[in-house]
Amino acid sequence: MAMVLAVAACSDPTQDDTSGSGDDGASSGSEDTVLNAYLYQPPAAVFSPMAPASGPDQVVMNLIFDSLLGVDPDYDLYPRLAADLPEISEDGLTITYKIKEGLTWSDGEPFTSQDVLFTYNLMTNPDTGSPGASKFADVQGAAEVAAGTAETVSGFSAPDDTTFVMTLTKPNIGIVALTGNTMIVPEHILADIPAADMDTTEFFTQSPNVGLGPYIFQEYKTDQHVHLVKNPSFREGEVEIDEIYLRPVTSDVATAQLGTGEMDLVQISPADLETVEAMDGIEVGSGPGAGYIRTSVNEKKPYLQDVRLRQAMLYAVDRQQLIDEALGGHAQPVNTSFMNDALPDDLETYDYDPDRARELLAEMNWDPNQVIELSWIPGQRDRDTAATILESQLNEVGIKLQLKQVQPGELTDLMNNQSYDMTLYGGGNYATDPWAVYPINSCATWFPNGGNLSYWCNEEFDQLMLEANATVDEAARYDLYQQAARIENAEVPMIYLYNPDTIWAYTDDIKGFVPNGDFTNPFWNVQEWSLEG
Amino acid sequence: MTAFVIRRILVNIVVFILIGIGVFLLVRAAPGDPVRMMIRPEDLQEGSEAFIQARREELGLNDPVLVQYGRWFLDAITGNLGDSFVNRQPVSGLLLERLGPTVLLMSTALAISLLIAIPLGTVAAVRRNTSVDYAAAALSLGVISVPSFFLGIVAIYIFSLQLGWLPSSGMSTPGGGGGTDVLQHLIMPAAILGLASAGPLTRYVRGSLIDELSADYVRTAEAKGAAPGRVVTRHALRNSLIPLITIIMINIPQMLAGAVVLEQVFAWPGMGQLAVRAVNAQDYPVIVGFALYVAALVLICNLLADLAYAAVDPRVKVT
Repeated sequence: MAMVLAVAACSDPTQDDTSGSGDDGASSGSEDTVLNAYLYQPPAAVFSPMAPASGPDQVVMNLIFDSLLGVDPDYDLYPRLAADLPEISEDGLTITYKIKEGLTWSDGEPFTSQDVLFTYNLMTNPDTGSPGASKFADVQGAAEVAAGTAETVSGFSAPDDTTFVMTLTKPNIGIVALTGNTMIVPEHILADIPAADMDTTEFFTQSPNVGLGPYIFQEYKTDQHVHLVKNPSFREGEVEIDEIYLRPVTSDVATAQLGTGEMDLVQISPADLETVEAMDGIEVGSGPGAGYIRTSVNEKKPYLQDVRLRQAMLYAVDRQQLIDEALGGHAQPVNTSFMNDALPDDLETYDYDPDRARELLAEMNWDPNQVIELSWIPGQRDRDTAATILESQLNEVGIKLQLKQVQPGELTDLMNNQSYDMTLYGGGNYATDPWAVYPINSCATWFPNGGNLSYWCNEEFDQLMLEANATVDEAARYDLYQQAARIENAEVPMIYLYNPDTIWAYTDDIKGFVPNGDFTNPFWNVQEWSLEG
Repeated sequence: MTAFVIRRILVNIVVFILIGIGVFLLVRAAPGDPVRMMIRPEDLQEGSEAFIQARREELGLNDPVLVQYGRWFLDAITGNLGDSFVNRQPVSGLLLERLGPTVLLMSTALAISLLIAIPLGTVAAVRRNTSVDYAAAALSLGVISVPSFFLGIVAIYIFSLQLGWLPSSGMSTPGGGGGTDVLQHLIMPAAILGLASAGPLTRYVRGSLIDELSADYVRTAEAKGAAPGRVVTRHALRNSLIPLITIIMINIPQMLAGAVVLEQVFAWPGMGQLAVRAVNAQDYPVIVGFALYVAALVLICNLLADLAYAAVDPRVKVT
């Protein structure tokens, strides 16, 4: 230790001025404002909308690219490159986007609907390595492209420079939310690259330096930082903050750096709240999540099929206590997958009631010697706490729950073999469009054909969902979704736990920050930010 | 000597290939599926399964494992270790990119550990069973007992957060760079890594020197009237360092293990971070590439230890 002290004392203590004042000398003018933001892990460095989803890469893409539509912190769609939300024809088969006029790429080339057409064709082309192609399955001609019998999707068209049209084979309102946030990439840069080489092309892996977003990609210094500078041709005009460094460090270090001023914006866990709130000049804000933490209950197992067992589990767990203990109150209770306007106000709330749980179990003659195994990937504090609370409270009412910690690969195998009893996991976005609930709950989307890991199947529910997604009238559509929500709430296909908030801590020098629940998009309104020094 | 070197290199190549086969088969025997892990279960759509199958086919994962190995081996002997499943970049490039920072960290740490261990071990040996010796022993045991990641977090708390002397992570200040900047970032991780291996090294230096000090030639030198300090440094210490060469060489791979952990704590952009991420994503080619790199390091260090031994000590003959 004496050695460390001695060496440290010899060095030049200049670490006080990296607080985002941009005063670190080597780079451009000293008047530049520089924001340092935490990235929860290093990016995979494929900044492509066709690449498999990767959170840190998405953070970068949200800054350097732009999309027709965006999602605000209330999880409502709003127009970005589009002039307005798209127009949907009465039969629900034609979706028409009008695009803002006069926009240019960061290299000065004009942006037109041809770029949108180009991007959407890439997204549906399986040769590009895009796992998202299936989102476009209902577009006319997408099946031919998937099968390799056509080069481009006949259902995409750009009749003029500011119009983009999607023609569907069947009405699918949910496709707007599912595909409207696709990052648009420049045709004039990528047109000559064969589809099969798209996932390794230099533009996406080294220098995605032409975009429509508020910032332009400068450099990714491996595992150290992504450097971005503002884009003078951004659609809302030049932003205030000149440069952004996104820096992958551990969350402990990030929290410490918030205190030293090396970091300006950090996503924190509830456990760090107390530390951060004690810091001078640091603000904390949070936004509700769009998905939720749950455990699926594998109904392929004969002993897990009775709905009363799943209801009993919900009554037996004090979920409010869980939220208070594991998340410092920073989470919302969940009683159905449906959210916002699709959430009816007359749902069963399954408040903590162990006696009711015992009654239900007695009614169904539950065998108290039957062991149920809960498998999950450990390492996230809130989920680990949730698992232990489930274990103790279910055992209390006579359900023998055993915990099994697994590696990610093991969990994949358990899912493939359908050999798990229950698994604890979470995520998704069910808040922007309720259609997103279909893949996790329908009879047609049992894993691996979708995310239905409970193998729950209710034909009336499926019918309502399909009908809703084909209903253009918004009020009628949400009425159908609410009906579906009531069925889901009563049938309990999974044990709903909680929807965690995303918590941000940031220096009070940042003005205009609006906390977003989507942790990949803290910069959604960066054009309204400024940084005082 | 030359024959010995050639024979050892040939043996090492065989060992290296066997390690390659072992690692290649082992990572594929582990549960899970790298392609399936690219899509989280809650994101699966109708049609995702078709993507998964197509990608598995493209990556050759549907072939028998020996076929996969054969294909990989034929590429590997030309220096092509394949592409990462995750970002489709060549594995050799991903490793090379991170080699520099790891080598810088480890060599600095090694230098620091020697600078601590040799003087401290010498003093402890010469003044054995005095308070100096006991203090050195306590210090060695201390750094051996406390895990380096913990020391790392404590150091960040003290030197970055409380005193504000040193940057808490990374290899350079964003937008900055330059020698002084990198040096400032290097001090904490290298010092902690160095301390961790200085502990055992100090004990080895002490033990080895005590043996030498009781040797006949030392008594002879003393009897001839050589100055006591000169006897220790010129005669005994030199000889006592010979076994140390082996210890250091064997220590280097161990140090790499420590570096993997510290790179995480200090966000040092070295190979450790890459390896940890590759394991989590079951990125087979990167895991195999990293394992081979470690294997090569161990084999080369062992070979160098033997050769250095022969070079330093004329009594050792390698045949």
